[in-house]
Amino acid sequence: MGSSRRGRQPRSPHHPPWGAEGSEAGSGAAAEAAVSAARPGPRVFALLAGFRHPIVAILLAIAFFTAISGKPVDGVLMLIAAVSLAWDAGRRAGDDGGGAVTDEGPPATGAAAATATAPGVAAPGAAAPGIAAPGEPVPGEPMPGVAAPCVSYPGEPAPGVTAPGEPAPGVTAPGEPAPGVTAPGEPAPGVTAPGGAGPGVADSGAAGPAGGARGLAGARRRVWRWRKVLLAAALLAGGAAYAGVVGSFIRYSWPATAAIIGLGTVVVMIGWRGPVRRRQVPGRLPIAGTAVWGLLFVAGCLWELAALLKQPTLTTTSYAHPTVSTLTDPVLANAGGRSAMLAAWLAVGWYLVRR
Amino acid sequence: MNSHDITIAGYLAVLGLGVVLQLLATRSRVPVPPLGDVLSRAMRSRTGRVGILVAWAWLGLHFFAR
Repeated sequence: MGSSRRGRQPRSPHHPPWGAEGSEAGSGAAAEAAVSAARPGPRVFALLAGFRHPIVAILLAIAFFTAISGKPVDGVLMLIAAVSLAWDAGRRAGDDGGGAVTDEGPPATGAAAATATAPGVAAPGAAAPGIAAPGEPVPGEPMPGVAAPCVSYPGEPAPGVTAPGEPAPGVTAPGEPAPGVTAPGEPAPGVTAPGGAGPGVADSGAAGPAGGARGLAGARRRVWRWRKVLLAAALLAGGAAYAGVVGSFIRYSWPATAAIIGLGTVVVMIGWRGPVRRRQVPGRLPIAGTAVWGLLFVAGCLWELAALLKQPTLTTTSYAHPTVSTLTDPVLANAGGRSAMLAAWLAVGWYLVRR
Repeated sequence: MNSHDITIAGYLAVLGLGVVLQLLATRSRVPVPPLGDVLSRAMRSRTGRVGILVAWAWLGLHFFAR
């Protein structure tokens, strides 16, 4: 799940899973761990440093305001998430001692493996001001050997450079059919297979070895496409069933609470492990344009906060100053509205988890 | 226009500005990144990824859970 307590060791491509990391610990690492345990001071400061991360601060603010508005369970869960995140960020900062910054998670498997960044390679991106936590991208720092922009904006350098963890152009994820790359046993475009017919000539080599391989590759592709379709259909059906069933529960009831907490925990744990698929990550974004999005987000939060604070009490709604929750109450009062909102919530979660 | 209307107008203004920003980002050459790019960028780090997913989970908790 996270990095180990010890100082991070260089990873080989065949590094074992995080859970098995202890099995390969050398005596040096064990000694280092013992020394770290004996001197908790720097480690404590490193852990406290995690609380300086803006996202942790935002989560703490959410936890506080949620708890004082009469939702203690939400508040406690947010507090647990914020502290866990701060602990993880601070621990990684302490482990690396401000050295090489890596955007790492546990070893990725399958398609996610393509997004894993090489050890010891810094990841460019946004990071907490004043915190150079490992795993956090360094703002504005191009990465040695792997710079990132995949999306260009006016005045930005043109794309064409691969992002960290992104495959180079022409490289495909394991199991994915590569565009323009022929499968093993398949003849290259424009090349006639031995025993096969030339371009424009009817392929009579289906019975030959090349034709058989070609047929096999095509069959594999069809199976792969069908698997994707079936998986998407299963996810859609599962999501619809979840929204229908949980939407039928009474709002704020324990069954609804358990269902939301369960799914939320699963999604957050998946996110903790890293991206679930290879995806295109934009490079450096225009600062002004990004700041406008940030300002809009902050303005929306402050407007909601102002409405909350203008209520008679924090737990009593106000018609004059309605919060978003108050405005959505009529929609969420019936099962259909709840199911529709749950479906939208699931769709947003699916979108985010694939980012 | 009473306080109720003003409060709702504020929410609608934030929502509308978000739509305008997204349209500017995707339909013009104004240097504003689409919201998806901003999210992708923020979710490059574990802290950003987990933080945003926790915020999403909180929305579900806030509207449906005890």
